[in-house]
Amino acid sequence: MICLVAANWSELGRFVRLGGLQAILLIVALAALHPALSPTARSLVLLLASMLLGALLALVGQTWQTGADPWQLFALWAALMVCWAVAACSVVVWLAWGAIANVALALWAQTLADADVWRALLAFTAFNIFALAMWETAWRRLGWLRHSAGPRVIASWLLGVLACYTVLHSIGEPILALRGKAGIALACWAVAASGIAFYYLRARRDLAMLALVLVTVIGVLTVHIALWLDWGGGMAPTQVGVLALLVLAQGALSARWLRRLSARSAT
Amino acid sequence: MSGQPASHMPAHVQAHDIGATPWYVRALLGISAWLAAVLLLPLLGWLLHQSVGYSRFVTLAVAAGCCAVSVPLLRVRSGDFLQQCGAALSLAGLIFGIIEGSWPTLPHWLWIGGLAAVMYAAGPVVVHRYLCALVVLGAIVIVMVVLELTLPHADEGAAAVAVGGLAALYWLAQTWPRLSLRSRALEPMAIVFVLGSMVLAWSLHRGPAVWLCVAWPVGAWLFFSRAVPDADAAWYRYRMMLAAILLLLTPAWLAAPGLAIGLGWLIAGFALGRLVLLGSGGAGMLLYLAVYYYQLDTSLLYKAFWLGVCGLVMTGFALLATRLDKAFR
Repeated sequence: MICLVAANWSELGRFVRLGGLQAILLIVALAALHPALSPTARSLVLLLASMLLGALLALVGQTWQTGADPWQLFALWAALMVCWAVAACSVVVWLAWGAIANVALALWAQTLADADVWRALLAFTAFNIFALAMWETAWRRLGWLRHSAGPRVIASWLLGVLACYTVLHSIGEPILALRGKAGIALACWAVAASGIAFYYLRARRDLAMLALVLVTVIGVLTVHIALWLDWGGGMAPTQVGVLALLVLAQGALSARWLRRLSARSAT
Repeated sequence: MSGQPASHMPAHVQAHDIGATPWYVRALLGISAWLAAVLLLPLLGWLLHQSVGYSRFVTLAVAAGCCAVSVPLLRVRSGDFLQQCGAALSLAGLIFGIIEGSWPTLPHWLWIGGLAAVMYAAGPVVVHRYLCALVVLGAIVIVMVVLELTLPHADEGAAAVAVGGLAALYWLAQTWPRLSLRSRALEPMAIVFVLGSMVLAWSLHRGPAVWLCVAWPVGAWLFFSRAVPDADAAWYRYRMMLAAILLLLTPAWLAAPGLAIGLGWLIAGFALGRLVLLGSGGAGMLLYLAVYYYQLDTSLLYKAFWLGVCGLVMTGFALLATRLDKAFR
């Protein structure tokens, strides 16, 4: 259907395009009400309805160009999608909602001046920590939400982005620079990583989450040690060897600790 | 097709997805090994340059030496640190061999592929095996696709069928209990080859895919016939009937060979009750649809027609399968 519509797109009038898409959206939304649908099928249908909602918003924006920033489209999409997500009671739909909200954040960050990037970093960290906290709060009350994939995806995204940002912007800066983008990203990463590690060690033990935190710790720590060894000024080959051994040692110690925790949890 | 695939499968087959080491520990060790390998490369290059200067032969010999030194470390029974050292050294040797001797000749890539295969066999660390399998896959693809001149009529389709066929052999062997116990070590290689066959199929177009699309239902038939050899006769007939219906789909795949390969692995996963194949096949089909949409040499109307035909046949197939399922139950 997508290929067929795309092939004839230029031939269609604006009202046919909008009406057609709205009709499909309506049919899909009504299909979700069908009593014979299984919960999985219902959540997939609602996910499709959510995606169609975004397509409809994009089509409206393309047809009547208002000059609004792209992030506003995604923010509106995320806001309107909340009702579908609530109705779906599905991990996948809520993760899709989180992805759309994160795209809105990323597009908003692109509109900021270089000096204001700290606002985007703080907003990104706060939003994803909030999402993770909400998920964990709801974990005990809502059975369908009790799936470890959700928190793991959010935490991977949060820590992965912050660690990569820290690493990329630390190069060329003094070690553990607490000013500028690298410093803010480092602080955000440290807060998020320590919070996640503490919660998943003490409150609800999830060793995969701890492994994720440890991977980012290895990455960030290794880059800062490399900076300390004066990477930019040309490290001696022996220093590179020491760094490699250090990475291996960190990995081995982390694995040993995780295995010990795993054995303790099993007993 | 959309039922509970694992429920009909023998327990010994399903149990294969459960490893002794938790997956997150394996992932952590793998990432550490990769980081260390990247750091070891410049050190290795510097040592080489300082000691003997640049020579292609010496470079490859040093790469082989690194791999040889890594074997005892990889075979240490306990101790993550030494195993990681071995994995990093082995990977550094392989990457060093690829980078430093990257002239486009058949002997070089055969040498790289052979070395990776030997390292795969010698180092029984799961993550290391996945990485070695990737190198073997890369070597096969380069030999068959990039060095097309040295092997006439070799292209992406031939490479897809070659690696897919090798993987299919492994998974078919799983249906023989005697073999499956011995061949467990080949599983990482088989999984990498499954993924590789699907990625290669993404670049296929109508012409070279004809024979590929004839080959896949035969594979599906084999999987169905071997899946539950000890099941009751009704189930066996049912599965064989489904496989026969799959043959009817063959013409539909001429336009979209990536879908055929994805569906083939999906069927294999269903037949064997292996989540890894089910997930790979399903994801491969969805990704191929995205790739297929952007293939500019095929018109959108043509794509719409063939995907519509596939959809209709599959819907009919699903309805018939549901009826048959009820009848045999």
